[in-house]
Amino acid sequence: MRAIAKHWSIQLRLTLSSLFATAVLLFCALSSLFFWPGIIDSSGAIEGINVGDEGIGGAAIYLLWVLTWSMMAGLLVPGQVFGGKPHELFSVRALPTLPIGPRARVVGDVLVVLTFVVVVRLPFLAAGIGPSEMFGFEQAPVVDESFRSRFLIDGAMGTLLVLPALLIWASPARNLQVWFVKPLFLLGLLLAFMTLGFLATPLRLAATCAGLSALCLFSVNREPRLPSLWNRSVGSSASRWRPGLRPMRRFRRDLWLKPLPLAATIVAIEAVLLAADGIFDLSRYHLFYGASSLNIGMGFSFLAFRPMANNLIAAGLSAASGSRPSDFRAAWAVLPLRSESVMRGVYLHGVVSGLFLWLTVLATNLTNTWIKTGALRLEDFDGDPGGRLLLPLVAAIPCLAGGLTSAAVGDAFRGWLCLGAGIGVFVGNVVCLVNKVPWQAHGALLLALALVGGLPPLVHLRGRTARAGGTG
Amino acid sequence: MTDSALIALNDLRAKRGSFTLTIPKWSVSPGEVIGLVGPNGAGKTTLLEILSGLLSPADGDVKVLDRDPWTSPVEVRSALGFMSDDMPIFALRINKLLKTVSGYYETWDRDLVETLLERFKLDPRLHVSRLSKGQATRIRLVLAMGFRPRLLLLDEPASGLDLAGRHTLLESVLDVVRDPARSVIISSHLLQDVERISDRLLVLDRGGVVTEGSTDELVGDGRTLEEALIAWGAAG
Repeated sequence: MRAIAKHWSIQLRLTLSSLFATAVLLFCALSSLFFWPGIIDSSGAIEGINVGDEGIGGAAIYLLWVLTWSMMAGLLVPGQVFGGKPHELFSVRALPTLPIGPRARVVGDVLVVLTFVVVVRLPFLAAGIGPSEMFGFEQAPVVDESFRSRFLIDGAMGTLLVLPALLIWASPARNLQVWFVKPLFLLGLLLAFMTLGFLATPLRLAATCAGLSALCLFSVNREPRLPSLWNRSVGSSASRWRPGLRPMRRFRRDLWLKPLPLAATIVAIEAVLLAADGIFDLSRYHLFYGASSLNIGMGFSFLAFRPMANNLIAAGLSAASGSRPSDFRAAWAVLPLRSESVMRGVYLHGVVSGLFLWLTVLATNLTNTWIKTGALRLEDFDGDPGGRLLLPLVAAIPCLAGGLTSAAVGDAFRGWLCLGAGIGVFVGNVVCLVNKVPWQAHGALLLALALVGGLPPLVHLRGRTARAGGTG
Repeated sequence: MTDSALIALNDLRAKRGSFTLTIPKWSVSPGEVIGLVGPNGAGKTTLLEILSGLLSPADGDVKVLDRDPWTSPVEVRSALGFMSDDMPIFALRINKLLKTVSGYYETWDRDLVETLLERFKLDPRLHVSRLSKGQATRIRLVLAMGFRPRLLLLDEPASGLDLAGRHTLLESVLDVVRDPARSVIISSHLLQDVERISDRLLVLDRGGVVTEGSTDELVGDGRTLEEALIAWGAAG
């Protein structure tokens, strides 16, 4: 416990010393005031998360946001790793020889995030009014004697629900893809448990989330793992090759053809899920949505982040002096290609893969509704018109393309800008829908976010200019 | 400078932050092995990056294989192999990495790559991320040599290599220049190796040329390259 406390205090001071990290964590904590899975119902009664009452749509949005903000927090608090083996970027923390165990370290990091949540919630507890009243979203503030106890219980239960997500993001993973996919499995588990009523009462919710948190901590492994099956597989002992083409022709082929097998797999899995849903009515248990989300999420992780089937993030590349943010561009630099051509390829890949995933979601939704009702329309989880929720998400595609390009060239500022704009699209969309914002304002907000995320990285797509004084 | 020169520099001036590299005139003919030596911060890597089109010079005339490497990187790099111990490579298994890269070169020589893999004792099934520093250097060498480039630029190629690895490296470099149409530029702090295989030397210090000429002429009279560098005041 002393080690955890010590690590917590060091990490908290480190986080507070970074204005950016502090601002993001405060934003995350503030957002938790509004996107917090409701444990207290409108009548003031304490209850768990019940699919039957609230509907899985609303709960899924809360859970998705829980996963999103905890990812940002999980990324910021443990700090960036410099040096060491690049493939270890997601499997080690900076200075792994510090006298603290890996699990204690993860818990310490998570406590830093929760500290921000507690600090943000304290003023409301002291004032005795809810955030909606304080920010003027509700009518006249009503001081309710039982508010404080309900607010405390709500906060404690919400913390328990968030805890597994925070732990999983803060835990090291073998690589970027695994780091992304583990929380998706957690989301699937939470949805399944919710459906089965495991979160329906505070006691059940506490027990389930404590169990999940323990599972997350248990998965933090300090011992080196066995080599993966892929690495153990015996491939050809001879070196492989393929016919050499003119470099730009080869590049265009790789850009379009290399992601195709994975894209086809994603579509095939969606088709199988749709067929299974049609036959076994998986939607009744919300398993269809969970499995479909997992498939799309994995597609996002493995397809979008691998332009030309090569890992975009520095962790996927190898350099003698450790990984650097611009490794992707550097790895392509010695091939007979123009650097700007490669960057244009990355941007295009972002647009196409984003569009593909978005269309896959729309097509799945349309087909599923058509199979069930015979009507060709978009529906959300609760059977309400889903077009308002899904269609505007097209605005996230430029943010994805811009983010990938920024990551490829190692432009941290534009990268964060794109990430922020992308998250803003998802959150802004929901906020506008909940608050019934007029469609003009809703569209203008999403367009602005798409431009903020998609335009600045275009600077990296410019061609080489003739050098001053050069005559060659 | 001749018309057939693989590299021709005239009044080159390149800036990298506050550092400036200046080379008034320099050329490389086919069949030569050039040793590029000098202390840290002399400008060796900057020069190699300009020659491979990774860095734009501020001024002067740069011709590599009769083209400007900055404005015609595709044409130049199709016949130029560049290897640096600091160069990132794709994180794939070696055989998949070779397959990926081979598609970009019409001159990829599968047999040569097989020979190099065998010579460097590299298992094609290994994943790049699992390689040791020396093994990573070896695979970078295979990638740079695998398409029989007309011009091979090696920046600290012996970094992390053991004695056998260095021996194999030198053998492979000499193999390259058995073809009289091809040249190698090798930048290294292992002066004995450079001295053994270089026909000519270019000695740089603090962004300027200290001396340039045939290795035999510059390092004669029983003195070693190390002693010569100390005498020129270019030992760092």
